[in-house]
Amino acid sequence: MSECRRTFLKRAGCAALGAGSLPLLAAAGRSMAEIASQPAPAAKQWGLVVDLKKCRSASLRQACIEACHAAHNVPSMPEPRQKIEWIWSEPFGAVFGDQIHARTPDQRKTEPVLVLCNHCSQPACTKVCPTGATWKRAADGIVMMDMHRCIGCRYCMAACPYGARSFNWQDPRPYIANIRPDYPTRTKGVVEKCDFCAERLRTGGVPACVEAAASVAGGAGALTFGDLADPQSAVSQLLRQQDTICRRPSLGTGPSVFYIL
Amino acid sequence: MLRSILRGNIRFALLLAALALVLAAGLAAYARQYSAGLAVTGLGREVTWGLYIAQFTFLVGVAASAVMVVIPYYLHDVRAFGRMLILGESLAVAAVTMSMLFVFVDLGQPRRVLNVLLYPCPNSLMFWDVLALGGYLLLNLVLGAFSLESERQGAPPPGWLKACVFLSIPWAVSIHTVTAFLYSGLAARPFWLTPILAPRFLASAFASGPALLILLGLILRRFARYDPGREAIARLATIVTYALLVNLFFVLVEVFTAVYSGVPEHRHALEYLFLGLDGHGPLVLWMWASVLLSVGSVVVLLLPGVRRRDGWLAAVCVAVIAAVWIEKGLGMVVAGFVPTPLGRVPDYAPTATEILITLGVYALGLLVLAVLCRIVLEVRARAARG
Amino acid sequence: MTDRPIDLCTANGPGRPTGGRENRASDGRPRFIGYAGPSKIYLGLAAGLLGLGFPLWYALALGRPAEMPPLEMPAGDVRCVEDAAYMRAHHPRLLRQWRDAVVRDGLDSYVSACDGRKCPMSLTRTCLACHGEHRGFCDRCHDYARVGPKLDCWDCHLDPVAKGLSQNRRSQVLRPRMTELPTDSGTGSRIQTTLSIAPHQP
Repeated sequence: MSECRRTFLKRAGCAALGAGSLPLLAAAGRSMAEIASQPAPAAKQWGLVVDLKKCRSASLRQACIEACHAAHNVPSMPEPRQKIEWIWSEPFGAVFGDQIHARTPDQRKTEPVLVLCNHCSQPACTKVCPTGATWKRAADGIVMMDMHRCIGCRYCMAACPYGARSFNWQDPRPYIANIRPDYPTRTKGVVEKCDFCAERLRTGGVPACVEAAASVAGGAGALTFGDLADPQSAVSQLLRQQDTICRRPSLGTGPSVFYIL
Repeated sequence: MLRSILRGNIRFALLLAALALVLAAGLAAYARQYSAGLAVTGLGREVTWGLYIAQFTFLVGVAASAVMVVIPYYLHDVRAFGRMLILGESLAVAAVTMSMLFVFVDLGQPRRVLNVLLYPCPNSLMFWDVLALGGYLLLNLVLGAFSLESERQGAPPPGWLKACVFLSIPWAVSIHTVTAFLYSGLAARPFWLTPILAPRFLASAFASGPALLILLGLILRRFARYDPGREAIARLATIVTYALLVNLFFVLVEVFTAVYSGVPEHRHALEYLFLGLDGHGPLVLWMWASVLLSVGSVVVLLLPGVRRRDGWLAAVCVAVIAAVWIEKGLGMVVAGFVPTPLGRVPDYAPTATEILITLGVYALGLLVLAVLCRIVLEVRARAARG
Repeated sequence: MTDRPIDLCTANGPGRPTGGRENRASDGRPRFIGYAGPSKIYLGLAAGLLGLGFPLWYALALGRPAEMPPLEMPAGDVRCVEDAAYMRAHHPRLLRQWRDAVVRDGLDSYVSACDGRKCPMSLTRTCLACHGEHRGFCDRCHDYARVGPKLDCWDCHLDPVAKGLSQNRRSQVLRPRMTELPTDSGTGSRIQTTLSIAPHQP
């Protein structure tokens, strides 16, 4: 009896394993083919230049953050460690830890800086994603997130040297004051971050933060958005004319967000 | 066979029942996490991996250490490991099962776990780790099952099994190497960004795994009248000694580089672990305990008179396992996140739910180990009866 | 049995008879612990089939056809993006195509294969613009057909009706109905904005 049962269990196990893995193999084959047929890289690279002086205005920073978070249904989590942020403000000393020294004036160290995803040219986060849920879009260089595919392993958060990624530790909906119905919220267990307002770029707009900054008094030119690959774009011209820095260039990630000192 | 596992031995049945109880508690806690999200853990946007991923790292090491019995037996013809071999494979099966489960319980969207295979991304070490662990699990299951089966039938094992044995040796090394690469490839985390991480992982694994195997052997000798052999245990103790020494050496190498060079970002994580950083030092006592246990174990293991006594040996093995568990299962993962890219020193402490789920996974692993050991003993006992 | 382990290095196990099975009784017959005779096997098979076939024979013997719940259909004379038969059969595929086209390929609008009309690929703005609340349409049919564990679209995508928005606000949200859609707004963006799917043949 035990003899028969063991043989039966063995065969059934092998059959189940075989039958179960077939669709997996087929799907894996399909997506491998997809990877192989990816279009040529970066025809364009969206980038942002932030003017630190103009961003000293608290109302300007507030306007940018609120516009972004309202546009994307970003929740305000009560627990600080569960905070979700696409764009936010950090002291200069924390953002540019490798640019300050013992004699840097406190005023500089504490100067607030707007930070967001850098949409790097060599992103550390997309490299580690095990499912391709985050990837660098070839057409315009945006580091995208596919919330439908993300398994919530948070490897990208460990890999990002800028702390630009947030995770939905719980269902975010109860913490969104005014849900904007034409933009999705997120579900618990997925990672999210700034995507340079891909939905606005698609219809010819500019990112919400850029628009909001320009609408504040004295905010013209605080945030300049454009194509880094185009030498005539406003961002390219600014980068030629001004002294700019970017975050942690020594890591080789190649940020697309720059700061005018 | 399946029936005889559950029949007869009341102590064994009690053990299974106790483990099942812990497993049930873990499952209940997981149900809570599944519906409420990972908010029930102590993790946050700054320390994004904690207890689960640390256990995963520790257990991959335990799994890889089966190779420490396989290599002497098959490559150097150390016959003494004959009765230990299948225990090593059983331990590997249980440890890989647990480590995979620890990754699973850490996922925010567990229902989508198959996306790793549906959308394979060869550029991610996580993808390779899933393949390595899955393959290693399968290899050890096949090795254990077929060698036991041929033993049961009194026939020589099939020839292809030897190929599996030789495949399993580099594979064991690879699982822990790939797991180390998972961390050491991240530019964002200076504490992990060191080429010595993989060697260190292997050294500590080859200390903790064989120590666990010795414990298992001693337990089976005491409670199941199965003697894996004095020589096997003595040889394993030697392996533990030298692996532990090498691990201590690697740690010192790392500490030297960080402290002498004085580069802040290399120093900070170590300071956080051993001294406390900006007034945050939740692991300081643990880490010093780990150091003391390691050094103490090495000293005791080097004294032949002491290590030959079962009681002492068992105590030392517990100490070694505790030392490595603290190093990898508590310190290694959390310290990688400190300080954060924005220079903060975050606090992380696992919640009760997190601890319960962790205990549940361990209970499941021990359940698997107990049943596998029982099968081995049963087959051998029957064969001995003729 | 010797207490030596099985040996893979030498051709035969040490001190073991070659090829012999030890699980034999003294008279050489295989020593199975209990052997189920043919009658038992057939009995077991029959019981198994009976159990597996429960949904079938129960439905045949005692079941009544479940009432198809009335689906809340769009008011007025509207046509879906594709014809009803196609949508009934292939809406999961269409929605997945839309999803990947929008999220992964940065595409925006969809050209109907049956009549060339154009619409944004949006669950909320296009589908729900006509179908209203998902509970009365999507969920009701999925519940009836018992498909999928649960429709989790609505964990993220908004259902303006279920959110209790006023009629005014709704029409703002649901602005771009198919017929009102402007043709491609050439924005200089290099992303191709239209997805055309090969016309389906019946």
